[in-house]
Amino acid sequence: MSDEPAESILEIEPVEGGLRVRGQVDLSNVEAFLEAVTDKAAGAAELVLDLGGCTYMGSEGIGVLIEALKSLEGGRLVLRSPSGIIMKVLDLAGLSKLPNVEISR
Amino acid sequence: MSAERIFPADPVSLRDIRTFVRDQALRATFGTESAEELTLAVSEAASNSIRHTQTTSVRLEARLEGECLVVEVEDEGTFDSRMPIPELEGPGGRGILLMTAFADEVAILEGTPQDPGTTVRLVKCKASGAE
Repeated sequence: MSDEPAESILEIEPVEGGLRVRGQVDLSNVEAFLEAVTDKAAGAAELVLDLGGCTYMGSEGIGVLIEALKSLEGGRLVLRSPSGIIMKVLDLAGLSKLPNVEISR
Repeated sequence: MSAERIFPADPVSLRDIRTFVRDQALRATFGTESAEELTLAVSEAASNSIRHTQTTSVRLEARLEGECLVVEVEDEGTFDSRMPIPELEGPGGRGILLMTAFADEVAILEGTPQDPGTTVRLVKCKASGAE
């Protein structure tokens, strides 16, 4: 982990088919999140993001998910266990309506 | 009830800003869902100030007005009211959408080069339909 405690609030670790995201995604760590996600997404048929431990995601996080979709080039983005408010954000961003996005609560 | 705090205009302040807003909302006996929605709206406003202005600090003021919590996010910057160009500037511009979705009222009092200081006023009411 980073020595900077304020940034260590976001933990990203590999899981089968994707990444587990824990903590809060915001402007302080969005670059690291973007890099991790687009790395995994590049050329993959499917990317799973387990959001079960993700307690905050606003517009910056949505931007990353949209970049992930671009990197997937038609592949599927699977979002697991988003919290109630993150689900609302996904709805507002229109992500939950996209055919290549699957959300499992 | 009112509370005020000044945060450094640094992305790492955002977590503290959210904790501050959430605490104020819960203290004002808002439900968790309303508290989270207001917190997200305020975080988006503060994030915009930190990202898009030259401000060195962001001042938050929260006060209860009847059944509504009013949070003002004030910076020392000038508001850039031109249309964003996502093709050139990358993703963005969704913050204001989220603010309007999660707060009952959003007002932006724009700072100008002559009179810097932009205030975003966000209001969330307990009897909000969003609950």
